[in-house]
This record gives sequence, structure tokens and C-alpha cells, in this order.
Amino acid sequence: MPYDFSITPLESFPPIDQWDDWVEYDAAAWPKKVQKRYMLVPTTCFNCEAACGLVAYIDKDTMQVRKLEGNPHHPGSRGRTCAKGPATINQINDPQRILYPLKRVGPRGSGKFERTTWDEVLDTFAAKIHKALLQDRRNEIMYHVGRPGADGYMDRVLQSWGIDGHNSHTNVCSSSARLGYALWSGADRPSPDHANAKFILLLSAHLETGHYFNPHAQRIIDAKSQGAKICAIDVRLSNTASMADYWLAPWPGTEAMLLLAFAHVILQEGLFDRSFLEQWVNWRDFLRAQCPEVEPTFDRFIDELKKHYAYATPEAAEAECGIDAELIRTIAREIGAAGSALATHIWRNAAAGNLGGWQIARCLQLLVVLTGAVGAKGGTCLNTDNKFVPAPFLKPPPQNIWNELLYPLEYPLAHHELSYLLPHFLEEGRGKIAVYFTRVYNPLWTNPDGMMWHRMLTDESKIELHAALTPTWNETAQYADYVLPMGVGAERHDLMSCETHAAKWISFRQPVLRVAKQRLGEEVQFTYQANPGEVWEEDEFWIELSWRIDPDGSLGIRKFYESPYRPGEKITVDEYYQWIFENSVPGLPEEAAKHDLTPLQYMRKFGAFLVAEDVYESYRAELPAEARQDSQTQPDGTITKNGKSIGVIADGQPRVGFNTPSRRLELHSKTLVDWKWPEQVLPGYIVSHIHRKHMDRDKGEYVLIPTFRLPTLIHTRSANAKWLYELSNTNPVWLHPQDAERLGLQTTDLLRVTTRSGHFVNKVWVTEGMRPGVIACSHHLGRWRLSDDVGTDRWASAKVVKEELSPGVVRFRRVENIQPFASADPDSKRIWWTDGGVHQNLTFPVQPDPVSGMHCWHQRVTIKPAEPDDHYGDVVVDTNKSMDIYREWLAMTRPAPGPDNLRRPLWLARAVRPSPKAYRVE
Amino acid sequence: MQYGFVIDQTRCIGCHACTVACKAENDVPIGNFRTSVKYTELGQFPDVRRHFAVLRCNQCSDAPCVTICPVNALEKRPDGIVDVDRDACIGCRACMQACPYDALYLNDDLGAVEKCHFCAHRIEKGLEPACVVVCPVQAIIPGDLDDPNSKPAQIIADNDTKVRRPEQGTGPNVHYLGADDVSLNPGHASRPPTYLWSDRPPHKGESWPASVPTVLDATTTLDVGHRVEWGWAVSLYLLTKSIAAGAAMLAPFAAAFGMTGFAASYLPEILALVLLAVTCFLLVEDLARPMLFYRLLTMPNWNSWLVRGGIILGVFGLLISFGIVLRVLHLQTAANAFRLLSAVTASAVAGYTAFLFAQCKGRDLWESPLLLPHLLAQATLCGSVCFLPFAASSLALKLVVVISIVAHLLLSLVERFRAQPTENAKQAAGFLSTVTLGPLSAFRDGLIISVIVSLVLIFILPEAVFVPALFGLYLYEHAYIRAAQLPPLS
Repeated sequence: MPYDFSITPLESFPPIDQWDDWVEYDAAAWPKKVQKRYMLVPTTCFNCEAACGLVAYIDKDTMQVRKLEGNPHHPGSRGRTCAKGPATINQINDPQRILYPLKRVGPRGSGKFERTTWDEVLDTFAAKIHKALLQDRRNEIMYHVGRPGADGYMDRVLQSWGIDGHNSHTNVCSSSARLGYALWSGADRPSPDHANAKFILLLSAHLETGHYFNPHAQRIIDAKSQGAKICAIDVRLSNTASMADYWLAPWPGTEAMLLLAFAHVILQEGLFDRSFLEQWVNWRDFLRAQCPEVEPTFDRFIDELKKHYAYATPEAAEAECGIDAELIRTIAREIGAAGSALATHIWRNAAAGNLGGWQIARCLQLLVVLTGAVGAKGGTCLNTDNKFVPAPFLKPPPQNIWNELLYPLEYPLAHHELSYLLPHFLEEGRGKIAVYFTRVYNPLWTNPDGMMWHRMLTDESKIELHAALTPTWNETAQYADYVLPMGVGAERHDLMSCETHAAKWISFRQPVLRVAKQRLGEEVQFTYQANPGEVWEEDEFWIELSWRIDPDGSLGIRKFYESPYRPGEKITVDEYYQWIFENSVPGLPEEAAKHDLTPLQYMRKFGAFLVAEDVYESYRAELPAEARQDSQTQPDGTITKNGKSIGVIADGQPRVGFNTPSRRLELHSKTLVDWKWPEQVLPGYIVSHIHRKHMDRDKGEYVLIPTFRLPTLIHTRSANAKWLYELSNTNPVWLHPQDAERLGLQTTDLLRVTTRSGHFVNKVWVTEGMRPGVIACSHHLGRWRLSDDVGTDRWASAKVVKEELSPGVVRFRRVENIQPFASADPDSKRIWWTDGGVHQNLTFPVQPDPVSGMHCWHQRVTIKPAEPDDHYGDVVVDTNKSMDIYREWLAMTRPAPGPDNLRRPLWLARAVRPSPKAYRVE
Repeated sequence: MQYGFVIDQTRCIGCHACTVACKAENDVPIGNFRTSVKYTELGQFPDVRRHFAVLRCNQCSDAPCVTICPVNALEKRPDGIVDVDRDACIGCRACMQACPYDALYLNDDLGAVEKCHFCAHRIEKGLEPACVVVCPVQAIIPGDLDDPNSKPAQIIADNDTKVRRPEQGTGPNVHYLGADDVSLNPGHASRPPTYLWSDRPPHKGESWPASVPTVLDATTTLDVGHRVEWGWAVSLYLLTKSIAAGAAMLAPFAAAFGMTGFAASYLPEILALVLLAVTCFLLVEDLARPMLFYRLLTMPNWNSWLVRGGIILGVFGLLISFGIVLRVLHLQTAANAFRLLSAVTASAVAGYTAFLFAQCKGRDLWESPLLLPHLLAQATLCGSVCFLPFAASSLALKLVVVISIVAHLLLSLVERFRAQPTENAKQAAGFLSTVTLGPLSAFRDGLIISVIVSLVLIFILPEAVFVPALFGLYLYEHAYIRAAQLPPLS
């Protein structure tokens, strides 16, 4: 057989000029040299929020997607992906995927559906929405999103309808971290410049999960290879912790104290960045409030700050957190030595687990501020520096109503919607929902207190009409009225940007078969014409639905869906993005022209565009002269205009500063004082609901960490990815050997974990990678279905029966493990795993943080060996307790209105922001 | 030229992107992997870490899979890649026994083995392997290890890299930078009954032998599974072949044992021929593509002891058949000469498996120098007990039976308890004690039945000794075949 060694050295990717006709040898025929011709079309991964670039290989003979690789032209992911990227092909070819719109025919949850038409779907929903809008029941229309996967599109749709109907998953995810960050700078996420960092401090697991795992992992490891030190703070041994120079596993809930001890050392030993602090922190506000009688000098501020944090000595932290004081000093000094090259991140981790988790994020950012690392090279930038969201054409005005089912008065500072309390609110009679869209969202499974969701979703007086927009079956979709198949990452349009590093980029998700057909000269009007079955893309769904809601334009909606290029006619999805690329992305038209392409053609060809590089210190940008007109400069250097601060004088120059009321980094948060939390005015330590002082170990009480994720699964959206399930298919309870011995348990023995509202039975994983006294259980596993042909994919789900043991007490019991099944994919007969794990979230009551609104995931539990009648996988929930525990946490809130009769501080970001008028309580 | 990889474990984050990208590129069936990441945890809280090791074919300089493949389906290419031609493969899975790294698997749909071939189909188009391209942290570094200027060659030159199982002498061309010993040395870490987020694959369910200590506080926490490929057919093949060979080996002494008439003239040859036929049937039946067995003759790899053994079996069958024909024609002298010739060939029939098993570089237990004498003793045992019903009063025959049983016993015990030269052999010897067949402990009960029961019965009912002797020996073979395949190679 002839060998061809003429081509050296090896390339990573086919050159883009050959993407229209790339010839590769067929791996299946090898070593026979069978040539295959592919068309390569870039798209964006939809399996987490990182928006990594993918390239689909489309077989030109069959016009099927053969595989997906990374897109080398993507600035964030640089051609590389995690395991979930190539697994997209599983999702495309999943033999159980939903190919046609389905309509319920039995009672809700009966699992009986029949195929319907998209016309029927669109007309049904358009009529119902039209009526609600006409009758001004605008708060009865709700769009509830799990994985957004797009920037801005839905905001525009919802605002064009004039509703306040955007609900999200954020409060079971990242709200606490976001609030902690936002209080400092107005930006709710960090953008660490890992690649140039000298010290990387992670309260996250970014070498395996999280936003933005793959792009961040690349840069963290690059920094490590260049000598950066990594410290991972995580209660359980993560892969990230394993790669770190320091792994700290403090007592859960004490993380803020640990971070404050670092700050203590940095302050005491003078390791802070004096000039940065003096210039950019609102220390005068601090002094004015803390000791109004003294002369406000910077030295005095430092003295007072030292005094304030005097309690957080390494020794005190050792006693509180269980981390050696000397180790704390060593790390604090390394942080100090790294100076402004300190990259940090907290995402879920402790912030998502604990009461007061937002203060943990705030304490972490305190370190970034003290070292002057904010926005610095190798430091921690703001997401607003590095995320770029281009404006669409004709932006609708903000809605002038406020939906209290989303942002109730009790939670004026909640960073996002109180999404997971929706069923509790409806149970209390706070409203009803006429039209409910769940979109790539599985609340029944994901959210705490899932049985309340069950109750809500099956009650047609609470939710009148429910459509589940989803590429794949899930537990929630089983209870929907309509199940509407939407495309996976290679079957839809979206535009995304993520703050992956010190740059700005956009990434274009494309329906790759549609694009391929168009390249071959075929006329494709709608994406579903190229997708499998009748799988739609949402962009076109919302255009069609909006058009039908307001066919004659009388509701003022239609105009937002008329083409900017063909007046009066319905916009196409091509035109929507064409306009953005031509008008809203600086540099793109010029770059496209260099390639002799239109901006849209450029994005279709390359899939991504780098808007700006080396973006640092955006807060130092000069305040435009235009903005300075009619402004005043206050004695402390703040520039104000019409009573509102718009910038600061720094280094003698007018600069934009930060997006806070003081235009500085707010160490001292007047907002918290104004909104009734004066004791939290500074970054501080809130004793968590699962602090060990609340635990009686002799009674078998432990902390359960239920939040950790695996590198190979995607929330609840991996069930259609066989290669991911093959690698990860069980979630045993992690238990330290000491605790295992105490309970007389070994790995695979059954354990009963009892929460305040139920219990589950899982097997034990005895590991040294767990702090004694703490247990953990990964959150992706334990998928279930009630019937054979409807419900979560059989690669991933066990079949269960739901039984009512006594009034309000429900048990899910497994009747069938995961087993091989017959399908069009021969691999389904080869399934060798049986377990699938245990669903724990059903047994968790809601625990909303009274400030951030974040569900505090960590659970106080009692553990003991399983009882004789316990079966593996049993989940028992006492729904009678749901509302009591909800009310208990609700009672901790300090409701609005705040100053000026506001529902929420005007300066704090809000998703799909309404008009200022709507902020005021009537 | 020698393509190879450096796996930089100082950068690898254990994310399995390579695992899945490989499956996508090469359409690897569920349950099988061409590359995967093994997790090993080492230490005690809080000084515990998870270590990763990306495991795959080593593209060996001296690839034992190529040597053993009877039909030249495996090939060492001029660029050093070890590639497999699935169309040529007959599915004997000898390569899977020969590989010390568990790098091959059988594609059940095709009945052919597959393995990492460095994405040769991409290489020839000038593209890096799929695992290299996908890796988020660029921890997989491909290149020509023979070119001192290549990146991997430079890393190897400048650093203390390691290879897996260097004692196997295969010349691995995947080098590990910064890997912990415990994650490269199979069996050093304990294996729990499940993994940290995966079921443990259902193969190799035997518990770890207590006689083989693992490293304290080292646990394998994630790994892929490997099937035990050679099962009952191979165990039975050893037995039937021993009977065929033993009958022929003892045939010249038939008269001396007091056998007369038909038993003396034809029984040994007929026994040998029938059992030889069964042996050949088992060999063919065990192929994943039995209808392609003829390729052993049409595409032979003369270095493979599967081919050489096949030739020996064929010659043996011819000699035996000629002997029968000559005897039917009453050409007694010529028949006796063939009987002698057959006896010599029979010892090759009995013994060639020792050379075949020595080519199984993945099964150190089988590489024992004692295997050859043991096979000869087993053949003698089988032949003699089969003669006993026809010469029950022969003291000489009984003596042969007793001596061969005692030799089998001693050799078995030595194999089980001697100081083994390698970790793998030590582990396999340990597994001899844990392999079961139904309610029976295969090794222990196999010896009790084939030795003690047979020795007792020889005094009571010598005609029936063959029953416990052969049954016990089958149990032993079951233990021996299975135990050698149980130690982890990853």
C-alpha cells in the first residue's frame, strides 16, 4: 500500500480556503483510501454557555453532519473544545430525539402526546397571547429560559410584546456571585485574564466546568506552565484542585472568613496597591460613615480598614475554616507578591451553596481590589470589558410594567428573577400564567422542591398553556401541553459573546445544513427545511409567532418584525443578522471587505469575529467631552451631571470609572444601607445556614454539597449524548473514610440522606477527596422517566413509578435500570452501564437568600445506613413541608420599597430592564 | 521515522475531550475506546490529589501485536504507526493478548479488532490526530520521535519522561511528562467496585487477590473496561489438544501398557484425530469471523505462533491419518514408524502453545519458562488417563499417570506460589485463587479433583480416572486462561 509522507509538518485544521470542498479519507474504510468530500461550516457549541467555536463536517454525498471539531478562527476557544463539543453529533443523531411538534392528548403528565403541525402551534399560542395583550394581562405571559445561548434576541422579542416576562435559571445558579460582584463595580461577573496571571485564585472548578471552562482552562494551564501558582478553594477534591498548587477545603460556608484572612495579611503586611486604592475605591464614603468625625485621609482609611478586619487573623480563620494559619499567611503573601497579576473567579461553588454567598464573592473581589488587579493585565477584568453584545435593528422601548412574579417586593436586591419560587408564588395566589414557555429548561428536575413544580405544572388553573421548547426530552416536558423540538447547536442561529479573556469577540451559531445547502446554491427559506424532521430554530419561531400575534400591526408589535431591507415585509433570520453585522459590530464590515465578503458572508464563513484585543483598564477610559458638558466636579473628584455621577477625575484626567453610584469601586455600599442591610455595608462574613455550629454530628447531621459538576456532562442536557453518559453515569455520595467507618459503610453500600423535606437513597463513595464531616453528590445524575416512549432519553434515565405514600408524601421508586434498547443506533444495544444515579434535588426545600435571592443549595442533612425497605434510587418527598420552609426563609427578607419608593435600586442591573417608571411602587 | 506522542500530564486536566473526539473521528462503538483518561487518587485528606493518565496504543517499536497477528492484519508502517486492516482481520484477538497496554478492542459489528492508529487517515492528509486538535490544554504533542528537532523528541531529550511498562521491552512511543508512577503502573492502586462518577464496567468482576498488596491510599477512580477475550473455548482447546497430543505421545507404548487388539492398534490415533478435530473446531469457532479461518494459510504471518501452531496441527493430523491408513493396509512397520513420528510431532502439538503464549506480552503468567514442561506433563496426563480404561491393570501406565499428575500438581503450585518476575505475573498468579467456575474455585478445586480424586480413584476404579482428571484439568485451564487476563494493564 502506498504511503503519502509528503505532507509535513502536520496541520491542526484544514485551511479555510478549502472548507467548501475538503477531501478526507474515510475513517470507517481505512486503511482503504476512500476519499470523502466534506463541506465545513462553522457554528457555536450550545452545550454550555461558553460559546466555543465548532466546525461541522458535512458529507457532500449524504448531506449529513459527519462530525464536529473546534473552529480555529474562534478567538475564545481557539479551535479546541471539551468533551461536549464533539458529542454534539450524538445529539444530532440521537435515535430518541423529538422530530415533530407534539401536543398533549391525555391529562397533563400522562405521557400521551400526538403529532401536530407548527401552524396549529403558532396559531394557538398567537391567539392566546393576542388576547392576553388586548386585555392587558401582560404579566400572564412568561418565557422561562434555562440555557440562554444567545445575547439579546429574546430581550428584544419580549420587549416588542411590551411584557415583563423574562424568567431565567440564574437564581439556582450564579445570582449570589453576581450580586457580590455587582455591588463592587456594577458588573456582575469577573473576566479573569488567566493567561497573564501570576497567581490564580479559584473558588470554582474552571479546569473542568463552569463558565467558561474550555477557554479558561486553556489559559489557566498556559499560565501554570509559565510559572503561575494556582489555589483552588473547594470543599471536595475537584480536577481543578488536583492541578492546583494549593487546594484548600475549608468548612463549607466559612469561605468568606478565609478570604478575609488573606485580606488581613495583605493589609497588615502592606502588600496592597496604595495608589490604586486611593484613586479608585470609595474610601471617603467608608470614612464618612465609619468615623465621620475624623479628617478623611487615605492613611486614616487604611488604619480604619485594618481595624475593621482585625478580627480576621489567620489564626481566627484557622479556627473557623479548618485551614492552617501558616498556610493562609503563605498564600496571602503569594497573592500580595503577584500584585495586580491576580486572576480570580467565583461562580457557583460557595456562593451558590451558602446563605450570604454573595458576601463570599464580595470578599474575593476585595482581594482583587486590594492588589490593584481590577482590569489589569494578568488581573481580573469585568465582564462588561470583555463581552460585546451588538445592538439589533429597531430596539423596542423598555416595558413599562413590572412583573412581581419575577421580582417580588421581598427581594429588591435579588440579582435575577426569583425563578424557582414561581410555584410557591402561584400557590400563594400571587397570580396565574396564561402562556408559559419553558425553553431548554427543566425546572421540575433542576430546581429545588421539584414537587411544587409538579403541582404547578399539572394545575391548569395556574398554568393555562405550557410549551416546552427543547431539543430533547426532559422531565418537565413530560408535563407540557406542547413539546416543540428546537435545534441543537448545529441547527439554529444565535449570536453570542463571552468574557473569556482580555478581548472582545462575537460567535455566530448557524444551522449548518441550511448554510451548506445555501452554499451549494439551494434555496432554503427556513431553517426547519434543512433540519432533521420538523425541528425548528427559535429565532424563526419567535418571528413567526410575533407576526401572528399582531398580523395587522395594531398592537405595535409587527413593526419589529418587518424587514429593515424590505419595508413592510416579514424579516428573515438572514436579514436580522445581516443588519447587526453591517451596523453594530465595529471593524467587521472592513474586515469582511478585505476578504471580498459582505459582513454576513464573513460571519457565515468564519463563524466568529474578534472585535478587540488586549482590553484592559476600561474604567480609565476618558470621559467624552460631550458627556462632560454641563457637569460639575465635586471636591472628592467625582464628576456629576444632573445630580448623577458620571465619572471621576483620576491622574488629573476625567475618566469614566465604574458603573456604580460613586463611579468608584464600592467597598462601602451605601446601597446596602439604603436597602435595610446596614450591617452588611462592607465585605464581611455571614454565618451560613450550614455552618458546623448548626450541626450535631452525633445525631448524624452533615453538610451535603449537592452542586458539583462533572467535566463530561451538561446540566440536564446530556441525556442525548451517549459518549458523555458512557463516561459519567452515577453520582454516589462522597464520604470521607472516617465518616464511612463511623457509619459502618463501604463504597457501594446504601445510604439514606434525609433533608428537611424528604430523603433519598444513594450509594456511598468513600474518598479521601472529601473533608470529614461533609458529604457531596454531583448534580447532573439521577434522570428519570415515567414511561418507555416519552420522557428523558434511555441512555440516561431509569424508569420510575411515582406513588403517594400518604397525603402529600410522594415516593419515586425505580422499576427499571438503564438498559440496552433497540433503536436505529446499534450502540443503544451496547449500553453497559445500568445506574444513572439518584435525583437529589427533589428532596431539597427552597432556601432563598434574603438579599441575593439565590437558592442556597447546601443542605443540612442527616445520614444513616439505608433501612431494610429502602431501595437504591428511592426519593421520598413530603410536600406538606414545602410552603412552611419557604415562608421561614421568606421571613428573613427586608422588602421594598426602598428610597424614593423604588422596587429596586435603579443603578443595579436587571435582566430585560423595564422603564424607570415601572421601578416605582404604585 | 517513528510517530509518537508526548502526553504532558503537567497540563492534562482529565477532561476526556480526547476520549470523545476520538470516538467521533473513528466512530468507536460504545464500550470501547482507542484512548481514554484514567484517574488515580493518591494521598490522604487534605494532601490528596487526583492524577490523570491518557492511555492509548504506544505505537511500539517492537509491536507484539504485529508479531502475533496470524494474518498480517496488523502492520508496523514505515512512519512507525501500528495500523490494523480490519478487512484482513479474522478476529482471533491474539493481538489483544499480546498487547501489554490493552490498546485494542474487538468491534463486534465487524468481527475485527480496532485500535489507535495515530489517525493515520488524517496524517496522510497532513492533519494532526483528532485527540491532539481537540485538547483544550495542548497536552498531547505528536511528532516524529526519530527527528531530534521535533517537539516531542525535544521534550523527551530535556526531561525525565516515562513510558508505560518498559519491562515489556516493546519500545513504547508514547512518553509521559510529569505522570505519577501510581497512575502508570497498573495494579498499584486499588480498584473499588464502582468509580467516582461511573459504574465500573462489568468485565473482570473477580475481587482483587488479597495476596497482592496495593499502594496505600492509592485508588483508581475512573477507568474504562476491557473484556476478557479468551474464554471457555480456549480453555477447552488446551484440554482437547492435550488429549490429542498425549494419546499420540503414548501411542508407541500402547502394547507395552498391555493394550491389545483394536485399542492397541487404532485407539491412540483415533483419539488423537477426533480430539484434534475438536481442537481445530474450537480454534475456528473462537474466531470473530470463523469463515475467514483459511486466511491463516493464505495470508500467513510466519512469525506468529498461531500460524506455526496451525502448521504443526496440520502436519500432526496428516501423520496420524497416514498412520491409520497404513495400519488399515496392514503395513505394520510403516504404521509403527508413523506412530513414532507422530509421537514426536505430538510433543510439538502439546508444547507449541508455550511459544504462542510467550508471544502474549500482555499476559506475563503465560510467559513462564515452566509452561512448556507443564504442557508436556498435561499432555502425558491426558493421554495416560485416556488409555487407562483399556489397560487398567498396567502398573507402568499407572506409574505414568501418577508421575504426570504429580508433575502437574508441582508445576501448578510453583506457578501459583513462586516469586513471579513481574507485577503482572504476580497479580495474575494471585487471581488464580479468585477465579471461579460455578460454585467451584477453579484453581484449587481443579487441583483437588484432578490430583487427589484421580489418585484415590486410581486404586479403586482406574477405568474412571479420566473423568476427574480431565474435568479437574479443565477447571485448571479455566483458571489459568482467565487469571492471566484479569490483571489491569492500564
